[in-house]
Amino acid sequence: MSNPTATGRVLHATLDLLDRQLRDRNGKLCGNVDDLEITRDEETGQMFITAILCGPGVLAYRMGRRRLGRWLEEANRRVHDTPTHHEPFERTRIPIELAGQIGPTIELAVDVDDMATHDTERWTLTHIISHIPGNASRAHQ
Amino acid sequence: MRISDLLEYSVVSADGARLGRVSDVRVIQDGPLLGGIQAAFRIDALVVGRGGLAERLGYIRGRVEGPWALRLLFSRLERRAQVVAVTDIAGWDEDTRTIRLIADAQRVRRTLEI
Repeated sequence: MSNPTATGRVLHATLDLLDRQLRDRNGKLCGNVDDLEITRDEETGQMFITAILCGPGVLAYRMGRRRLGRWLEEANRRVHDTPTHHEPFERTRIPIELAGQIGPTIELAVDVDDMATHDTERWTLTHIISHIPGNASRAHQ
Repeated sequence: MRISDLLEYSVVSADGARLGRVSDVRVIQDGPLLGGIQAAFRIDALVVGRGGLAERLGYIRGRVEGPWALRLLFSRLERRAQVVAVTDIAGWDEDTRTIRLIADAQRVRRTLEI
């Protein structure tokens, strides 16, 4: 049976977490919750939500396109390295302890640049747009 | 495991009755402290069965109040949902994507309480 005396906040994952808008530490929009990582303790049988997953391929995986999703995630991982200036985590995986206020939006204690959400746009800006003569924007890196 | 994987599992009671697929996961933030910041999000129970339409429209768990006719309809659908405590899980079969329970179908709780 569930724990009837539990006093913590009660959430329903598909209603209260999945597809919620994410904001980074500066309030910038940085994608949506595409999936959630679950970790199961083999000894106790307890399960915990341990990370928010978002970025290229994650939503495809959730929508049933497992191979495509895995391929996109791996491709993105090869192109964009894990940031070295930050506590190491994969760019598509945000540890749940970095999620602050959970409501209509979820506020994260990370910078959008450390996340994979805009990697495709960032890559396009750096490798294509910035090389076109007369472009008004400059690549970040 | 991802929650999208968990939502593909079917739940079977100890006496072999199929209760349906996992449609949601109830989470309680009362686990061990994570990094000294906040309590971990413990998965307390699985919500099993129910038509997907009510869920997509938000007519479940009292989230949407009207129109009253739709609320009545979807409230009835909601009552069909069953809540399975994680502690009632006997085993996981990853090949057939099936969760087996300790309890038989009669003992599985039938109400969605928050």
